[in-house]
Parts: sequence; structure tokens; C-alpha cells
Amino acid sequence: MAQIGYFSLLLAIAVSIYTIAAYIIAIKTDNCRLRASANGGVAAILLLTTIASVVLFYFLATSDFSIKYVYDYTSKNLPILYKLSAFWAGNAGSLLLWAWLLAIYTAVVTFLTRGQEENIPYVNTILVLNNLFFLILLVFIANPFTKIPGGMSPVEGKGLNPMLQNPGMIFHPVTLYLGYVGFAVPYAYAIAALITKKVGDTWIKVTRRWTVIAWLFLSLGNLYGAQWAYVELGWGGFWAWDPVENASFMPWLTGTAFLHSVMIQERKDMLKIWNMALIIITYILTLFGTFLVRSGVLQSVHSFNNSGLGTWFLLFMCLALAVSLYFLTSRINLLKQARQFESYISKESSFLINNLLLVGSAFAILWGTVFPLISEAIRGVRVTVSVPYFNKVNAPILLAMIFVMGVCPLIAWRRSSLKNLLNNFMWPLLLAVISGVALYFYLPGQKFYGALAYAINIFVLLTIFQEFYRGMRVRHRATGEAYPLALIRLMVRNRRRYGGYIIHLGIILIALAVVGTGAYKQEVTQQVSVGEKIVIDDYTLTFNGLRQRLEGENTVVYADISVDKGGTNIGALTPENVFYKTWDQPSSEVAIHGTLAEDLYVALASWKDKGRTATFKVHINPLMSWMWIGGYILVLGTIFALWPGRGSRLGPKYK
Amino acid sequence: MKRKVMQSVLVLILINLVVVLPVSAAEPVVNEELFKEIEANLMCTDGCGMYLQACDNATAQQMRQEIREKLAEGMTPEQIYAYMINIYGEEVMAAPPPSVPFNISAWVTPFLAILGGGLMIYLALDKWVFNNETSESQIEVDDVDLAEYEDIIDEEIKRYY
Repeated sequence: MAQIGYFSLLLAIAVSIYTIAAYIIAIKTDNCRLRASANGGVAAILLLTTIASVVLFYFLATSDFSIKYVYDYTSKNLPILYKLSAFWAGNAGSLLLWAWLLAIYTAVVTFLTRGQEENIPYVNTILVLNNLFFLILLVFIANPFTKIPGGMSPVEGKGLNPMLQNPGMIFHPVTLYLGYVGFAVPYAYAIAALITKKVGDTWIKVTRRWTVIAWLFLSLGNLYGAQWAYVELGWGGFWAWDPVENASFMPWLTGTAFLHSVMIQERKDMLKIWNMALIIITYILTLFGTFLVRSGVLQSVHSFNNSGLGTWFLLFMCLALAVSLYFLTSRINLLKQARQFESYISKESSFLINNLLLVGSAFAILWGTVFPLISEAIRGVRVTVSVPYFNKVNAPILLAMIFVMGVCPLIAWRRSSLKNLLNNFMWPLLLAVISGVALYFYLPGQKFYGALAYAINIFVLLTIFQEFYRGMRVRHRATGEAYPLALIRLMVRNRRRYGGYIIHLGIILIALAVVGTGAYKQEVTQQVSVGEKIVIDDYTLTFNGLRQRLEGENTVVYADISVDKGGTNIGALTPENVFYKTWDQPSSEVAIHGTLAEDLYVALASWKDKGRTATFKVHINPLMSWMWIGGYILVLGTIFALWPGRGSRLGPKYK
Repeated sequence: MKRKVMQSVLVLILINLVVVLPVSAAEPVVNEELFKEIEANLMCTDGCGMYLQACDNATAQQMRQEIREKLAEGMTPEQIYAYMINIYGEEVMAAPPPSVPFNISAWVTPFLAILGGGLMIYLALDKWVFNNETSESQIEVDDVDLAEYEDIIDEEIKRYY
């Protein structure tokens, strides 16, 4: 059975080489039959990677410990869902997932994209070349079907890292990879446009859906990662600016910049070079993330230890960058723009600021991520760049970006005037300033930056609502439709625009949660004996004792805590430590009492005297639920904007 | 079955007696805000790569104890950072300390890059708008109105022509 998986991958390499060669010859000779055969090659690669993936799933599900990968990452009594999710717990499996997803995407591009037949050979050559790289790694360096030496079959596996035994870990890697791999498609179309010298906005129109889908998955991947960190790591935070977290956030930022800047190319045929550069940077950053995970050059909690694949990824990344830059520079004359801006103050110019801040933030994160290496190379001293640096450097940049997010939609295309600005901004700005001042005095600590951040978010929130209101009013006046109907029709008939606003709404809700937890969280670490209380804000937590229970083979030690808020009992919380038979360290499972206003978050840190005394970390994280609600709204907005039909058409091009 | 029960009992005894993380018997009473501020600027030093605030292993707990002791001894945050750097190296700081001149580049480069980018945008806009100033009429387009009315006009055209 293992041979079936291995030979599928081996055969996929051969088919990939054939497919690439067939596409190149078909392009040179304009041979339709050969092109169709190469398309068949794409289907074959999908079939073969699917077989390999199904075989690995089978081994994982049946706990066949003669396979080293299964032995390394699972154990017999692991729940079936976690056994299957161990597919991407290790190096080889995650590479197979990448290759499989890329094969699926390539097949969708080949067989489901209409009207792009002449571009497919170019696009697919690039995508299959990418997949060939992963398949070579899988066959020659990180084979997931390697057997235990000596033909042995241990009775038990090493088990899955307890921290990965969380529902978040089922979705986080898959969504993140769907995002990473998804950006390969617009990248391939961009390079194909450069090769064929058809650098108009066709490639942007064709790939918009792909870009938005990849962006959506990357957003979800980051959010699932944040949620996992929040509930699993027990430190009360959700983002630790680890190099690998940074690696998934950077392409998100540049991808977001790309999604906005392409609108200027669609409307005005401008920024062609910039858009090409942005999608190349985004794609290279996805490879950079994978390089970081597998190279071990930076200290990270996410690393696949000693995988030895870093050099290969570095080489591939350099090759992809060199090829991309060659095509970009050699076609630079074709990309020069003809049109002009009508005014300094216009939506176009605000998009440029938006791009500057998004790419600036990505650069700040990149700079901070690689600075330890630079310091070591120049000074011979390795420094650490972690949370305080990234928070301090990125907070002003991202806050400015959120402000621009509020300003941008309210400025007219082409040219805006003072009257236009006053009309659109006066009320939101006034209300935001009043709210900011009120919050400064009302919230604890009288924190200027916290209140400022809230005020900016409130400003953007109000501008979004104002946009919906204005649009609804205009439609009501023009058609006489009732307000609710006018709003629904307005949104449905301009799905791209209003889908974008819904996404902005989701981002603002996430930002409010970030500000709430960042500036106004309260925390206490306290040691208490049975019967003693921990008081934090208006919560009183009474420690009733430490208990234990068996869950299968695992022993769960949990604290029984009753919680009062303002003198009223609101229930019990049971933070846990789980001891696994197959793992040395226990895993912490936090207990959360969540409301829309705040999360009461309790982690069991340690105990002594046979459990009569225990230490707890207690946090109050304001507005935390809004991060997850914002995430769902972001997904809804994206689906709404992408939904096919008349309302999803592009905006008009200005002549 | 009996063996399994015995195993479980042994595990529980082990957890109660041995595996539990050590907790200091007597933690010095210190200014908690100051303690948190110092903790937030340090990394755990056992190679786990985690921010001290986020880490709960034995080394992290020992470091916290050390911070409390130094605070109780009356040391200032700066003195505690210097003490930590002396023992663990510059790497113990969670951000490059700006007291080292080279580290200033870590802090200012992103902002210089953004300023440079802003300047480039300004120069580009200056060129694009200047070239265009005389060629376009002074019109202002309200986006919402335009989109809505275009939509309605489209429908009217379809209906009547």
C-alpha cells in the first residue's frame, strides 16, 4: 500500500515533466492535440496526488505504525479526526497537502475557467512547475510513506503533540495553505501576461475571484491560528508575532494592497507595474513563510525541526524571484501607463496611501523578522525581535491604515472637493471625536492611544454605516422603493462595492477587539487555597478545589471555580491540565466565560499541596468575541462580493 | 482491567507528587504593574522561543521569580534589564534595545521606508496631476449617486428601447 502512495508521487513527477514539455511544445507549434494532452496531464497529476493523499489518510486512520510518519504523529487511541488531521502535523504531510491543493487549483483553472484557452498553457506551465518542485521534495527528501527501518511495526505511535489536539488545528493549516497556494494562481496569470506581452487588465479580471478567494482563506487561516493560540496556549493572548505568524500576515497585507490597487488599473489603466510587483511579492512571501517554517534559521514555536528543506525553499524562492523580475523588467515598456490622475484628492490617490501603509506594514514586519539575522551578520550578536517591537512599530501604521480605510470609500473617483469631503466626513468625524473623548475619561487608566484607536475605529464604522444609508436614500428617492427594499436592492445590485464595505465592517470589528484586548485587558496571576477568592474588576472567583478525571488514556486535572459577577453567581469555570500517556508535558485547556462585552479567561498555571493550593492566570479581555464575529462578517462579505451575476460586475472605466 | 486501574492510580499519584510545576513557596510582594512591564519586555531563555509573558515552563517561572526578587531588592527596570542581559545576553530582550546604536536601525528603518514611499507618491502625483491639469473639466463625481443612477438609467433604457 505504501508503494502505491510513493509510486503515485513518482509518477506525478514524470507526468508533470511531460505536461510542462507538452505545453511548451504546444505553444511553440500551436498544436491543439498536444495542448489537450497536456490538459490531460493536469488531470492525471490531480488523480495521482489524490491517490497519494488518500493512501496517507488511510494509513493515519488505521494507525499503521509501520509507516514512520504515522508512528511519529499519531497514537492508537487518538480520536479519528485528530488522526486524520495529523496529515498536516508534520513536514512531509504538509508538503503533500500543498502539492494536492495546488493540483486541485490547477485542475480548476484548466477545466472550469471559460474564455481563457489561449492563456492556459502559460499559466499551467508555471503552476505545474511549482507543483513539480513540491513533488520532487516529497519523493526525494521528505517522503511521507517511508517505512520504519527493519520492517518493524511498533504497537504504539509517539502521539500527536497535545497542543495540536484542538479543533483549530484541523482548520488553521488547511485554510492557511488554501490561501498560500491560492496566490499561486494570480501570480501564474501575471507571469503569463508578461510572457505573452498581454499586460492589459484581462489577467486582473480573470484572477480577481482567485485573488479574493486566496485572500479569504489566508484571512481565515490567520484567524483560526489566532483562535487556536487564544484557547490553547493559556497566556491570554492570540497573536505573539512569531516569525511564522509574521510569515502568514505579510502576504495577507500585500495581498490586501493588491486587491485594492488593481481597482485603479481596472478604472484607469494605471499602476500596471505596481500591480505586477505586488502579486510577485505576495507569491514570494508565501514561499518565504514556508522557508521560515522549514529552515530553522529563526527561532519559532512553529518550526518543523531539522527538516533540512530550508535550502531547497531558499533556492526555489530565489529562482522564482529572479524569473519574475526578469519578465517584469523585460516588459517594463509595455507596462508604462498612459493615463493621469485628475486631482491630488481622489479615491485613486487615497488608494495609493492605502497601498503605502499596507506594504509599509508588511515591510516593517519583514524587517523585524529578519533583523536578528542582520544583527548577527553585522555585529555578531543575535538579538530578539518580538511582541514589543512589532506592537510599537505596527500600531501607528495599521491605525493610519484603518483611518484611510474610512476615508477612502468616501472620496469620489477622479476628483474630490472640499465640499464633498465636508459632506461625507463631518458627522462621522464629529461623533468619533466625541466618542474618543468620552471613552478616554470613562475607560480605566485614561489611555490616550487606546481612546484614539477606538475613536478611529468608530469613525470608520460610522462612515461605513453612512455609505449604506446614503445609498439607500438615493435609491429610495429615485425609485420610490421602501427603505428596507431599497437597501436590499442597492446591496444586491452593487455586490462588489457593498461586499467590500461588509468586509471593512468585519475588519473594524476585529480591530476593535485588538484595541480592547491590547489597551484595556486586565490580568492577575494569583495563588489561592481552597475556599479563597480571586477578585478582578467586578468578578469574584472562588476556588473550590482541584479534581481529576480520566478521559480515555488521558488524565485530566481540573479546577472547580465558581464565578460571581457584581454579587450574582454566573456559573462555574473549570480550567484544565491534560496529561497524555504519549507526551511528557501536560497541555493547558483554558476556561472562558465569554460575552459580547468581554471574555473572562482563566488558566490553571500550577498547583501544590496535593491540589489544595493552586495558581491561576485570570484575564479580562474586552470585546474579544468581536474578533470572531468580525471574522464571520468578513467571510459573509467576501461571499456576497464574489457571488456571480449582474451585481458583481466591475466598475466603469473612465475614458 | 485491574492493571489499567492500577496504571491510572499510579499516573494520578505521579501527577500529584512529581509532575506538578514547582511553585515558589514565598513570592516577594512587588509593584505588579512594574513587574508586568518588565515581564513584557523579556523572552524565555530556555530555547522555546516564547515571549516570557506567554511562556509557562520552569525556566519562565524561574525568570519571573528572579524579576520579583530583583524588584524587591529595589532595582529599577533598567537595572533589571542590564542584569538579565549580563546573564543571558542581548537575546533576552524581547525587542532590540535602542541603547545599542545599531539597534536603532531596527526601529527607524520601517518609518524611513514609509516616508520614502510617501515622498515617491507625492512626486508621482505631482507629475501625473500637473500633466493633466489643463486637459480635464472641473467635474466632481459623487460615487454613490453615480452608481445608483447609472443602474436605474440602465434599467429604463432596457425597458423602453
